[in-house]
Amino acid sequence: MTGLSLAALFAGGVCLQPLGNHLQALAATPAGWHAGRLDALAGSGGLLAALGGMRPALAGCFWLQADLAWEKQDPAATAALLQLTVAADDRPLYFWLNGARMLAYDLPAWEPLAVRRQRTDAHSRLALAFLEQGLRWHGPDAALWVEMANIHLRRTGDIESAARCYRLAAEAPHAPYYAARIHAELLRALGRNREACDWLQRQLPKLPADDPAACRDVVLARIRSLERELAAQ
Amino acid sequence: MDDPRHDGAAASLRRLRLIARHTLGEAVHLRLTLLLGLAGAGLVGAALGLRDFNFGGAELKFLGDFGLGVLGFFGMLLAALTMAQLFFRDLEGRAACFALARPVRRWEYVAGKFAGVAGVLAIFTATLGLLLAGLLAGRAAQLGLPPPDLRLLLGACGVLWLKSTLVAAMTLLVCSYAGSALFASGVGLMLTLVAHLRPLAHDGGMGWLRVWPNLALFDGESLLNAGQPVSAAWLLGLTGYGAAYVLLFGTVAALAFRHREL
Repeated sequence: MTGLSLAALFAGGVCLQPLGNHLQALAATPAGWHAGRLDALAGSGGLLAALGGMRPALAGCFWLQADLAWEKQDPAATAALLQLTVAADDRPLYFWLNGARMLAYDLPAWEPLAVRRQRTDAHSRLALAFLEQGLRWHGPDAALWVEMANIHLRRTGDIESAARCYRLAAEAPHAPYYAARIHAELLRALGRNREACDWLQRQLPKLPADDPAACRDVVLARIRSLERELAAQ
Repeated sequence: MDDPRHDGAAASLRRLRLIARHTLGEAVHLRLTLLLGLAGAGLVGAALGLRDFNFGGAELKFLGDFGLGVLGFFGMLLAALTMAQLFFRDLEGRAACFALARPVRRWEYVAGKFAGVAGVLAIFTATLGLLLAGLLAGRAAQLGLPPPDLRLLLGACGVLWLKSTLVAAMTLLVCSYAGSALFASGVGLMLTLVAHLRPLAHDGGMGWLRVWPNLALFDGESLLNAGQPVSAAWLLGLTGYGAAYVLLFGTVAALAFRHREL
């Protein structure tokens, strides 16, 4: 009898599996219980609450704890609690952006002066890894790319990577207009004027004339300036 | 059952309805139901006080998320605990024997029990859903924001009810084999946890778990957060998916109960 029941359950499950997969693919948001999130939450006692759907409150509690650790200038606890926060609720950009800023800008400031320089690089890598995790868990978003670009630009001094991230930000949906402009400026700083000019020419038709944030006139002026520089070479 | 008056779908449905009504009455009067109902309502109400813990998103989104989280969590607890408690109370109190001594088929008894518990879960979901809708509408008015989309909230509550009935069906299956209510409710909740973690079954040697229902699909909070009504086809598919699993678990439970010595 038990064998028959098990066989019936197995056969039924196999038959219903395609429907489940189809529904999963069509779901409003992917059922995002990634293994990484599970690992992060498993030892914290929050797994049950998160599975039960109380993600925002749980993430809020972890965020408060991370703030307390930040006040005590405890880098290890701050980083660990930020991980728990995003594992509990990966949807708000607020956690990803502010968490990455804590890791990249605040943690190095707590280090003794003698090791601050080398620790800055390590913390910047940690912040970049945190944002890459955000891109995987939360999904691509211009704000995450912009934050990565800023860390490359201001902390690691890697202009090449900053330019790449600004380009990805500019290509993302609902990207701020300035991402495309900064990408062009960074290309110019790298001495790639032709590429910068081509990029801005491609962006120009997408810029509305009636939106001050688009800075259409500024972009046009920069294209003219780049064209003059290229002609002079 | 030889009497022709007891045969036929109408007679069967009448018996099933009687058992379901009796089970619903019992379930409503259970202290556990009252306790979980009050705790759930209290927590939904307490969401207003807990909004200080919200950092990531809009306040109404937090309230909706938290309220639906409470509804889903307590609904699952209620489904597993009530089903096990009512099933074994009947077995231990010999009420099941008395019922089955009458012209009642065992599958009718099992289906009636399930329908009664599904009924109490519907009452629970509707009550907490109404409370949450009132809370959201009141807070939206205070903040000067448009009231939340009731269709979305209704859809999310419906999905959570489906999830809890699926948990009840899983527990019913365990009940048909188990020797105690404690064991049945414990295993029922464990199986619920497995069903929630089912999306991870793609990795490694856990692939066989893919035959188990995927409870992560019944994510009411995501439906509300998506901000736009889900397609009727998706909702219909999800209902069919849940109903098919309930039917599967119910059939196997009825089969096992048929051979059980009372």
